Amino acid sequence: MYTDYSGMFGERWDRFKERVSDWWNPVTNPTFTVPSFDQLTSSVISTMGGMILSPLISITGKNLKTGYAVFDLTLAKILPKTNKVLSEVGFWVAGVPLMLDIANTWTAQNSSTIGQRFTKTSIQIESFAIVLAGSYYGASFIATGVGMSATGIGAIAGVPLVIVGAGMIFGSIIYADHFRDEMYDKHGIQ
Amino acid sequence: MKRYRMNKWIIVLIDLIAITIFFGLYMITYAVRENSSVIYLVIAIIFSLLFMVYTWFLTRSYVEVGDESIRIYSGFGETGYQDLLFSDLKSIKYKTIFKTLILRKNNNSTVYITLFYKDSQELLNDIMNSIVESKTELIMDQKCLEIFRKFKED
Repeated sequence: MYTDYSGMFGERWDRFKERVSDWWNPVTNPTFTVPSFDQLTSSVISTMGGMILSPLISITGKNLKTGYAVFDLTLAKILPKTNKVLSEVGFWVAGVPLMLDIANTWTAQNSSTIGQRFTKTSIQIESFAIVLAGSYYGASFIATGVGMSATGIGAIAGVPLVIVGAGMIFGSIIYADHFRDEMYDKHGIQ
Repeated sequence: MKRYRMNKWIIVLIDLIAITIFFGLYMITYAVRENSSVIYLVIAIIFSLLFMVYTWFLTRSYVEVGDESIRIYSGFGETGYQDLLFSDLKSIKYKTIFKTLILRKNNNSTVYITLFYKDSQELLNDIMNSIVESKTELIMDQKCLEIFRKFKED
């Protein structure tokens, strides 16, 4: 006494796939286009610039506060609200370009399907995450290194940390850019 | 009290290494992508310039060895001073490969003196001599012990 459910599930699965492809495949024609950050600014001040700047300034503030009180005290004397202001600035500097680029992805006048725009958005978020992670840890290394030098814990001993930190930030930007281009090529995204 | 100043050529060498690494990363982009964006070049230049500003501060650093304490100045203005009392020290180690003295204080915080100063050997001897003179009891590693014994015999 067996009931064959496989056919029923198979049918449902096919219908589900059909519905997904109905949503995934059409080419949309947006009525207006949000410019990407690259189009708004010169190519030099691109999203990447914002991405490195943001974690750098916010993390540097935080790290010095916990790790190197002496340095932070001096910093606090010169700029009383440094940490708060820097992390606010960091948030906007990193967030706005990403938001603009995602908005541009969905409103650009080209022959991309919804699925391609969806994939492009996830690639943009992924490459943003790569740079964010690289910059976060890189900036921590730099802050620790500069902190060691500045407080006299070890003038030269801080130098390798600074070099490694800068390399991590630079490396993550290069890797994210490479990753993004490769994925765009793979998925035929414009 | 003698003042030992930083050897500026070491800083130039460090700058060259860092710049090579930053521009090397820029060149890697050609290898992996067969082209490179101007932003990488801009980042490499900015990082190199910032690094040179940072190491410029280090050129001003010095170490002063007194009878009871060592004063380390890192070059970074008023935050850069560390006064190490010999009586406050717990242990001392010397890493030959990095030419670094690792001084651990009683509160377990550590200070690194990298001997890239002019007359670095003399500086090391001076520090050891002062430790002998101040009759401070310290945990020492083999290298420090050798120098220390030499002074005790003298």
